[in-house]
Amino acid sequence: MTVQMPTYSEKVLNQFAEKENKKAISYLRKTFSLSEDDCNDVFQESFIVLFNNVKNGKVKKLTSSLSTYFISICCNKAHELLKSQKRSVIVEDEPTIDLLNGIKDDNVEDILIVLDGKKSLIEAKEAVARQIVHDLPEPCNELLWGFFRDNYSLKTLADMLNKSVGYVKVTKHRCQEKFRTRWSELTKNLF
Amino acid sequence: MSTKIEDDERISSYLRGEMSKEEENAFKNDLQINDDLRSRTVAMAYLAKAMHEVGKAQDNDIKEALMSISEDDARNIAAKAIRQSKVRPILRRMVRVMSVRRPLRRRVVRVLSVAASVIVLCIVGFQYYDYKSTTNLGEEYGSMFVDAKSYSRGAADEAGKQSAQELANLYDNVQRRINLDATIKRLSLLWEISTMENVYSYYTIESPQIGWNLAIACLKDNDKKTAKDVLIKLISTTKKDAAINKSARELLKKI
Repeated sequence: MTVQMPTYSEKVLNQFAEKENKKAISYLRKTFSLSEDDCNDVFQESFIVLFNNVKNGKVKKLTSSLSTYFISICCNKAHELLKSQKRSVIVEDEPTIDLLNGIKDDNVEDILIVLDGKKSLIEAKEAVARQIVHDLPEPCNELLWGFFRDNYSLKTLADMLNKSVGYVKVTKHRCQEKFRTRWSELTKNLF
Repeated sequence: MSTKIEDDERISSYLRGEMSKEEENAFKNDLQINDDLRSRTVAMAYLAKAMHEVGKAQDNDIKEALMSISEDDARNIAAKAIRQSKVRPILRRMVRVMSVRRPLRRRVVRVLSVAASVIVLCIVGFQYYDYKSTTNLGEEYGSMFVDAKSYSRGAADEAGKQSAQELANLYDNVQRRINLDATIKRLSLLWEISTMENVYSYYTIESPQIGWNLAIACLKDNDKKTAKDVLIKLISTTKKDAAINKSARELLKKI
C-alpha cells in the first residue's frame, strides 16, 4: 500500500478551500436562502471561476483579499442561479472588491509615523504584530482576519459565522484588546 | 465597555477612510488628549498593517498554488472541501451513536482501534530513525554555551533584569525540553528582533545566544529546516573566529 502525500500546493489549496467553504455556505444560505445542494453547486462553480481567473492573469492586480474576491464570485453565481430559477433576493450588505473600501494605507502610516515615531522601531513592532497575527486563537482568527484583511462588515461577518451582529461587535472588541495587550507586552522593551 | 466599543468603531472608521473631514479633525484632536484612545489606535494600525502584509503573502501562495494545478485538480479540491463539510456532521452523529454502549458496536470499535494502532505504529517506526538522529543532534550540541546566569550580570535596570531572566528561562526550557512550542515561538520573535538593523533592545547583545538556542530547540523539536535557516543566519551575523560561529558551522554540516 502506498500513501500519496499531498504536495505543498494541494495542502495550501485544501486549507483555503475548506476555510472558504465554511464561510461561503453559511453566508449563501443566510443571505440568498439557498438550499444546501445549491450552495455546494455555487461553491464548486465559483472555485473553478477563481481557478480560471488566476490562470488567465485576471487577478494579478487584485487589491482586495483573495477571500473577498472569491466570496464576491460566489455572490454573482448565486444571483445567476436565482435568476435562472426566476427568483430574486435583495442583498443589503454584499461584500465588494471595490477599491474604495477597506483599510487605507495612508491613514495607517499616518498613525504609525505621527503617533509612534522612530522608523526602525516601527519595523520591529511590525514584526511583532506579524508574528501575533500568524496564530490567533478562534474566534479571533476568523473575526479579525475577516474585518481587517477581507474588509467584511460586521453584518457580513455575523452571517458567515452564524452569529448575531452584537456578538461579533463585542467579540471583535475583546479580540482587539487581547491583541493590544499581547503586542504591548512584547514590544515594551524595544528601544 | 460600550464607550470603548464606540471608540473601536471610530478607529475603524478612520483607518477605513470613512470619516467626513469634520469627524476626522475631531478624531485627531481626541488622539492628542486621550492616551487610551491613542494607544488603541496605534495598536489597531499595527494590527491592520500586519494583517494586510501577512494576508497578501498568503494570497500569493494560494495564487501560485492555483497556477500549478489543472482544472481537474481544482474540481477535486472543491469537491473535497464540500465532502468534508458534509462528513463533519455525519462524523459527529457516528461518534454519538458509537458512544451508546452496545456489544456489537463496541467490538467494531475495538477492531478498528487495533487496526488503526498497527498502521500508526508502522508509520511511526518508519519516521523514528530520522526523528531520533535529528533530536540527538539537538541533545549533543544543546549543552554547549550554557551559561544562563551570566546574562543577568550586566543588566542595570529593572527591564534589563526582566529580559535577562526571561532569556535564562527560555534557555532552560530548551535544555530541559520543556514547553518547546511556546519557547520556539518566543525565541523566533526575539531572534528576528535582535538581528534587525538599527533596532536595539536588551536582546540585541544576546543575539548569537538566542539564535543558537533557537536552532537547538528546533532540532529537539525535529524541525531541521528552521534549524538550518537559523544557523545560516547565525553564521553570517557572527565573527568567523567566534566559538559560536565554529560550532554553528559544524552543526550545520551534520544536519
